[in-house]
Amino acid sequence: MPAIRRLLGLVALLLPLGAGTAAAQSWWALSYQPAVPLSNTKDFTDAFAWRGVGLDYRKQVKPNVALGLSFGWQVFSDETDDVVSAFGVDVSGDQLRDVNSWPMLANVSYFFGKEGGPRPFVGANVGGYLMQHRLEIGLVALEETNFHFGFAPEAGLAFPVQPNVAAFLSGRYNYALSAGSVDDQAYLSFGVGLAWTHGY
Amino acid sequence: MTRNPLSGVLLVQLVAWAGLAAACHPGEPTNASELDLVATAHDDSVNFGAIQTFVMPDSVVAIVPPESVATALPFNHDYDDLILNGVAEHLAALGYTRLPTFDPDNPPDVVVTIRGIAVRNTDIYVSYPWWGYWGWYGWPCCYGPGWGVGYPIVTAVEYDVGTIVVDMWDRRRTDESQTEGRVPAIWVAALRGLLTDSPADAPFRIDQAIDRAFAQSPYLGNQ
Repeated sequence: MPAIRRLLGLVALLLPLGAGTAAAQSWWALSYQPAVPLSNTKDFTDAFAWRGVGLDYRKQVKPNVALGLSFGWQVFSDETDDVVSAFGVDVSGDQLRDVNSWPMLANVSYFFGKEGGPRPFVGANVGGYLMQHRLEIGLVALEETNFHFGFAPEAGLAFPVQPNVAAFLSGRYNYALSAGSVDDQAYLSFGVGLAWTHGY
Repeated sequence: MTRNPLSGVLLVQLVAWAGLAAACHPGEPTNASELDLVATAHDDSVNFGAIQTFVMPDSVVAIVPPESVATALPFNHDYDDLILNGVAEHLAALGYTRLPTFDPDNPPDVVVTIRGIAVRNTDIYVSYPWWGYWGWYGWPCCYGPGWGVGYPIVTAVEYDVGTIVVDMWDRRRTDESQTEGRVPAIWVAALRGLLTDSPADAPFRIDQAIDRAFAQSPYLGNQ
C-alpha cells in the first residue's frame, strides 16, 4: 500500500512541527459538508450529496499559519436505470449507486486578517480518501473499497460569533487518484460550521 | 459558571454523525419490480441488418440448469403467450419477417427460442455480535470492562427467482463439420426477476423487461 506509506510519511513530517508549538493556539471545528460530484464521481453518482460532515483540527505554527488534520464523510447516492456494459454484456435494471468517501487529510492553512476579526483563509490538504463504491442492480450488489491518495485545495472565511467560537464557510476541491479498479475521483465539498477556537 | 461552547459543537457533531451512520446506503428497493434485471449479449461480427426472416416456436420451454437441479421450481406457463407475443412483436417491428414453420426448402435466417427457468435460492448469513460489558467485582477479584463475542446468529433468506432467456440462433452460420450441425447463438437476452406470491404486476414486469431487452440492443433490426 504505497499510498498509505506516503500518507504516514507526511503525517510523520508534520508531527514535529505541531509538537514544537504546543503552547500555540488551536482550533477544533465541526462542519456540515454537502458536496457536488465531478468527473468520474459524477459519472457514477450524478446527484448532489446532501449528506456530509467534517471534523477539523488546526494548530498555529506561525502568526498566520496553521497545520492541521481533517476528517470527513460524504455520501453520494443516485438511482438510475442506465445500461451498464461490462465484459461484452449489457445489463439494465433499477440501480442504486452509492459512493461513501472518508477523507483523511493533513493540511497547512494561511489565515489573513487579525485575531478577533473576520479571517479569510486558504489551505492545502494532502492525504488519503477511503472510498467505497457500491452498485446494487437486481439481486446483485457489487462493492469495492479502496484507499486513494489525494489532495484538496481549500478556501474559506471564519468570523467570530462569541468568545472562542467562530463560524466559518469553506469550499474544498477534492481530488483522489485512481486506486484498485476505480478511476480518479473528484468532488467539490462545501463546509458550513462552527469552530471552537483559542485565539483565531 | 460559564458554558463551554464546545459542548454545543459536540452535540451537533453527535447528531450529524448519527444521521450519517444511517445513511451509508440511503436507497433501498421498495417493490419486487425494482429488482428486475435484463442482460443482453451479442456477437459483434454479425450484421443484424442483413437478417430478413426468423421462426419462433409457439411455446416457452421450461428448463433446469444442471447447477439448479436441487433447487428448481415448476415454471409457471400462465404468461407464455404474453412473452411469446411480446418478443415476436418487437422482432416484427425491427423489420424481421416471421415464417410460420421451419421449412428446409426455405429456411429462415435465424431461429428464436425462449426458455424459462424458476429456482429457489437460499442465502445463509452468520454473524457474531460483539457486546461490551462493564467491570464487576466478586470472588476472587474483579473483572475490568471489555468486549466479548456473542453466540453466532444464523439468518436464512429464501426467495424464488424466475428467468426468461431469449436466444437468437444464426442458421446461416451452421457448422456443418459437426455431426449434428452446430448453430451459434448471436444474441441472448436474459430477463430475471423475483417471483412473488401476488403476481398482479407480472404482465407489466414482463412487458417492461422485454422492452428493455430490445431497447438496449440497438444493433438489431434491418430498417
